[in-house]
Amino acid sequence: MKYSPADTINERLKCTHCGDACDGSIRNAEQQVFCCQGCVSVYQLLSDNNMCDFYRMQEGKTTKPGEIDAARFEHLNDTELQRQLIDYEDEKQYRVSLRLPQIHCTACVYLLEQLYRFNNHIAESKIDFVRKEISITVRKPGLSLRELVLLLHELGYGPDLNHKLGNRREIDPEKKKLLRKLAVAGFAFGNVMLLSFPEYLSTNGLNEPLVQSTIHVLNILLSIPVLAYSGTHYFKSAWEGLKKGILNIDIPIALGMVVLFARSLFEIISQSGAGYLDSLTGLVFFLLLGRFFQQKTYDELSFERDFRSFFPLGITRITHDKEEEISIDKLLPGDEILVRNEEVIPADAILNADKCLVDYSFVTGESEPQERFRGDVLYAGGKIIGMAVRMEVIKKVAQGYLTKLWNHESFSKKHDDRFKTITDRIARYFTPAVIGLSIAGFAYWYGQSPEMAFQVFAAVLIIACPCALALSAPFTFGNAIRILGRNKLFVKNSVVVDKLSQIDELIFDKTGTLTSSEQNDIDFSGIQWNFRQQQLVKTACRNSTHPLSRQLAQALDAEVCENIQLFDEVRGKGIAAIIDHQRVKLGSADFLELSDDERSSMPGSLVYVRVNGELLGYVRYKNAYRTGMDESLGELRNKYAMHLLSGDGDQEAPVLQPLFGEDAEMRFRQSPADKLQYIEKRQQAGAGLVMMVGDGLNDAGALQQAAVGVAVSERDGQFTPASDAILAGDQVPNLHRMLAFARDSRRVIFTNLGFSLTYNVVGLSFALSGQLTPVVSAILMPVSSITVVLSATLLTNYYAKRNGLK
Amino acid sequence: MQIIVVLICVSVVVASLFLWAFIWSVKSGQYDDDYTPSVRMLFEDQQSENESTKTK
Repeated sequence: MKYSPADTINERLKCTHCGDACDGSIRNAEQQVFCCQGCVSVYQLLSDNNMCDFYRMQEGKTTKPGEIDAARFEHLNDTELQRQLIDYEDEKQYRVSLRLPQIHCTACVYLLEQLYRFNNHIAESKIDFVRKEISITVRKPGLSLRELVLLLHELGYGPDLNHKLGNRREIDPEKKKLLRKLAVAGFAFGNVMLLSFPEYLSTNGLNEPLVQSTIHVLNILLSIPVLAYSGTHYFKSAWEGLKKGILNIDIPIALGMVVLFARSLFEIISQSGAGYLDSLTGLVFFLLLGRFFQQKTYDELSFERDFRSFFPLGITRITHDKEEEISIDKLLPGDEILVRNEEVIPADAILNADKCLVDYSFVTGESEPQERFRGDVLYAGGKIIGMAVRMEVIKKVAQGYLTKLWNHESFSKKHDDRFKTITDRIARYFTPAVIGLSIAGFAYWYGQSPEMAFQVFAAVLIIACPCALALSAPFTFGNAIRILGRNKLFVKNSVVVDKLSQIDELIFDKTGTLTSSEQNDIDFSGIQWNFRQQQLVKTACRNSTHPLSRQLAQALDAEVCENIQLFDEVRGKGIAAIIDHQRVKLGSADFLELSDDERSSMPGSLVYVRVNGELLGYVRYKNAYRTGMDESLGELRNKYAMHLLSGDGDQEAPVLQPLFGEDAEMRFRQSPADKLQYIEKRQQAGAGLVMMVGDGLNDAGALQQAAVGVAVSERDGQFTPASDAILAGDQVPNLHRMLAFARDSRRVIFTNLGFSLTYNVVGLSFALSGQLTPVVSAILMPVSSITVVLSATLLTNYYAKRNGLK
Repeated sequence: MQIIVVLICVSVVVASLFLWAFIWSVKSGQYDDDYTPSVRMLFEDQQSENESTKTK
């Protein structure tokens, strides 16, 4: 008979508020069941305000109200801090926008947009679901900012105040500007196209001079804003390229646009033709469309967070046994501070309590909380677990062990300067070729007819305008960003995809990247035990202080026996105990003296269990290597030079070496600065493009220094260090597919390059022979653009499917 | 046939009005959040004594 802890929980009793299983001991006046007192009070609050529709609407899990310690928000009364948080304030009201990471479903919107029902000082609250932000208007006087934050906490939506301070984000003004430029270009393109249509129907132009000149004048009027407003980016970029001496792709584009317009103006004024204004407006429209498509942004993610958004805003300082809340910037060495459960240590400090547990999982990736004793130095960034403890600050926040890393130059310099995008590389050859060809054409014709020579010169520049070339990268990479996003690799911009396609070396962090840092998730599939045996194991674990035991005890749902005859714990090995006259032994394979047969070859944190001499099996902590990681690493090591940088000891080296390949460099016990230096050294040794995959604050420097830094995030809305891309934890084993796809996207661009060159050869043969008429240009240009756009999207989708991506 | 000139001018003016309307909607922030309004419209209207005061 196989038992799992889930079977033992009474499935029928579920908390009315959060849906968690519960034992039914907590009920309200209407006999509804709750799991905790916090849920009771939220339910009460909702039903008092006639908001029970919330439960009908909500999907997934309701957020449990957190334990509120009112004193924690004392610092929100600080006027300076308030000024940073509040968007707008006058005598009558103030408006504040806060980030609520818990927002996840329709019911959240329903509840939070009716905040005014809970407190009549709240005038209006508005949710931006995608950004997980709420904007609240409060009438003054009445509700203070601190009371507002407390109200949100009470409802289970504690705002992420750090986020607000770290990145006050506005809606990207560039995006709006581009949309307006696109609208103007599209408008002009449509109208000019329509107005030019009659021109193409008759061979001699329109017979009505009045209609003809009206159309011409209108076309010119419509084209001016396209050139002067929509196309400004290309002129600026071409000019900047020229100043730096780089022949970028925008130079022939800008040249083509000017020549198209000048030539059309000349033809219309001299009444020799209708000009190429439809081609000009179409060109700008398609180019802007490509830029717009490329701009996929993930508003809910932040790629730029710095350490400040990880640290608390304020901290409790104790002076002469009196507690006061101060902002962490004011913290000085020598101050005594009080850090409560789940709070982050803001500065390096010495512990003033007997002992405490510190969770450094975010800093080092190590998931097990560590014990620290009186007099130990506690480095900033750790989270206190359990009791509130006092400590004495020894360094200012900015000078701490971790924060010093941020003073490194790699955080201030731009990396993109060194990297040439694929389009720029092609442009280096394309641009001189086009200009050379037009001059050659001009020289050839000049002897025969100077007028013809000017025409050919202009025609070559017009037709060779690399519209198709300039469109290919935005559409390919734009679509690639979307496909990667569907597979939970969120890329900052298209340059990162370009870089991903050219990676030479891969550097991995171990804990939190190859392994999962999620705690309390224990895999029981390797063990068969009955209820009685679970009870014994739980009892043994309850008496241990080891974090793994604590997790196991928490996961097992059984009653604890009080009858313990013997309890012996060997630190770092396991527990041996006699409970109720039954022998219980659990711990590592060595501790249980397992035979080779019994040892499973599986790596990871395994704990074996033996009761009365019988081996029941093992429990596996989810903090083991992610499933499929070995296969993924196998694929990756065939293509890339692999490295491992871990902050942990080298006990896992024998397991990891075969996964990474025999010649892979593996370094253990690496400090954050070591990791950064290692990448620098690789780059100086000419390693090409280096990609770093890591998760914690200890990888922050390396992520910044690498050409592509990928931050692994276990949960939505979790803090990730500044990076170029964010990868969901469960997708790490799919990394080889995503990288293969990125490489293929390069192939798409080269295919498109072939298309656009074919068009150019056809077009240039018209141009050089002096036969380029407006109608040829008006057909060739859109057709080549549309072919490239279609092939870019279709081919990227095809390659995504072939690589097994969604 | 001359009338077509007038027609063309009128049509361009009408089209410009739509262009202006689009640019206005972008400027006034109607494209900033393209998800939440779709959720919001599904809620039942509940009459509240506390009609929200517009703050713009």
